[in-house]
Amino acid sequence: MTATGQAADTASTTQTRLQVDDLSVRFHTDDGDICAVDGLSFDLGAREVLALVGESGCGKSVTATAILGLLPDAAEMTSGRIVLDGTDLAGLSRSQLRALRGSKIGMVFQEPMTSLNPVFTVGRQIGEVLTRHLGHRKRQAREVAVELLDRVGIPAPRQRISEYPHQLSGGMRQRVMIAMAIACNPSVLIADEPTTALDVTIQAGILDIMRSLRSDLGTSIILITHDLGVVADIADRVVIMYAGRKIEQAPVEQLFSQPQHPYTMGLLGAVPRPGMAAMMHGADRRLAEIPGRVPVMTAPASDCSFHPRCPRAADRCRSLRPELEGRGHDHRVACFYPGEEGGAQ
Amino acid sequence: MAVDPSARVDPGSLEPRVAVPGKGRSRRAQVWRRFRRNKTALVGLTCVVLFVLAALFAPVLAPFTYNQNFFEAVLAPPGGEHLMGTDDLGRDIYSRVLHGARVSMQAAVMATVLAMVVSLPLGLVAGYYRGAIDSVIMRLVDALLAFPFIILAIALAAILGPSLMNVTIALGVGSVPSLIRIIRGEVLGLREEDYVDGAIASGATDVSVLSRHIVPNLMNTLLVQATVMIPGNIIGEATLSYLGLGVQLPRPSWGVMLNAAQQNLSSGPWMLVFPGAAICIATLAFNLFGDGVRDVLDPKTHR
Repeated sequence: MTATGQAADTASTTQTRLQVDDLSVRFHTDDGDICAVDGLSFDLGAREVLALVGESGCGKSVTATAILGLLPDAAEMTSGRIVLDGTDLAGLSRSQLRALRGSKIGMVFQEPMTSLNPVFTVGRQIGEVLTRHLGHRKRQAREVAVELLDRVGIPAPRQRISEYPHQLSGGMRQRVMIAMAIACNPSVLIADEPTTALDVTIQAGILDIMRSLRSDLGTSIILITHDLGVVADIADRVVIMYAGRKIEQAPVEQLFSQPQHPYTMGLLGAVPRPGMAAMMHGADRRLAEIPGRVPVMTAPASDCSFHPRCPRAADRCRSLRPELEGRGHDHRVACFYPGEEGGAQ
Repeated sequence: MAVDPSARVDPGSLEPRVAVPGKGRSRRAQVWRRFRRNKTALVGLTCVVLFVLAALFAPVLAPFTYNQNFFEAVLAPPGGEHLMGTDDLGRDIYSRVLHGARVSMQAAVMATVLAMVVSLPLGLVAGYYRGAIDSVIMRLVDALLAFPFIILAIALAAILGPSLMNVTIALGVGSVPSLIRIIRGEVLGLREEDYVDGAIASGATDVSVLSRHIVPNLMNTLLVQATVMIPGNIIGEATLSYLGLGVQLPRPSWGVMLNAAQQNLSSGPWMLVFPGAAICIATLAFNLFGDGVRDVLDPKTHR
């Protein structure tokens, strides 16, 4: 993604497609409640790629299922408003929500190897979505499915369409998954770690497709990932999550050049860079790591949940919860000691 | 050269392959190729086909009717005009064994179909929705499983009266509980599959998830179960007929013939040998065939 392209994209993100406001999700388990998401807010503009970034268990995927209205039985949305193209999803019936899924919101899952039904041809599976939402007849659905496969860069789509998933490679299956997700031209596409299970060259191809969706169809994309390389490659804006809360949000370049939260800095420090090994010597030839693990939140945080792992943790961090505060244009961070050297105290 | 379906996936290929004609061999052809390599299963299949043909064309194949008495040749030994001899009423055993195949197949297949038709919706509902409805269905299943099958069948026959139809119902109902368990277990696993989540995330209704994603993936399991249930039901029908609960005289069933043989063991042992052999061979054939089917279809035995 070039700098000019990004500037143009950010300029066009005036219209809000999806708005998530103060979303909180709790899981009721035998061992008590777990706060999976706590007061998360973000919005997604037209043609925008928003990356949700964080370690495993920080609430990224739960956020996605909450948007789709598919939280598991044990989970409860305790607060929050999700507005899609001006419609509050809370006010919709089950069947209205169902009609929305697959038509206005598309979803791509992490596991391309298991996300397709093994007993049907890919054409039939794509056709099923078209029949369901657009009422296409069999032949028409097949024609559109061929176009879709072509769009996601599958060569010889006319032959591929009558093949079974086991005849396709992982990258091809992920392309089929994307074709299914965009079949009804959704305004929002949620991609949950779409490239994690794929190797790097195929990953690049998938990201290319997502870029072309954004530019050709104007699709807005929520990209859930823990891969900062992918984020740098495609995202416009980044939301960093930790233990269910948003701790930093910034345009992608801003985030990479001036990370404010110590956790974000830790994440960036853990990314290997070319030439790094040559510059380091001896015992220092290791990637930086963040000690410890993401805590499991049993109640909404009353302190900074990152403090046990934070090199800057002070008394204040242990007793008070930092709220999001502006640090420059569209850059917000929840930390008492942000910035390069702990900020202007 | 084992063709493992997972081996055909090539995650390392950088560029998507272009379809090669013939490479998209249909699933059915693959299954048949694998099945053909299993010689014992082929023998089983051959016998199964012979039995089915015998059952279908018994009136044509049999030299006499099952009810024709040759009083001049009562308890005639095998050979000559009567290939398998005659019974104590001078009836041709070969003809009766052929007609017995008819009764046997009819009861076994119908009972299996009945069990499937009853179990499938209940197993689907229990496994897919879980919760209270699952508990209710499964407790009923437990209760049914607590009855010994024979007691259940005798009770049913006593209530409904002995007939082939009632034997079929008893056999079918008898295998419902275990079949529900199997289907429910399978559905519990299938509903966690990513493609089911995917279908739900793309707006599928429960009915379409069940009918388009779960049932088609259950088919292998059901087919394998059917090949196990049919031989069991053949024996079940013979048992109930032997006890006099099944098909009524003078129609022959292998079980009825065994019962008659009991009183003539010393004077006409062939009365026991041929229907007994028919039961053994039919059961063995279905089991061999079923094993072969399971080997090629059941994902748990390969891959």
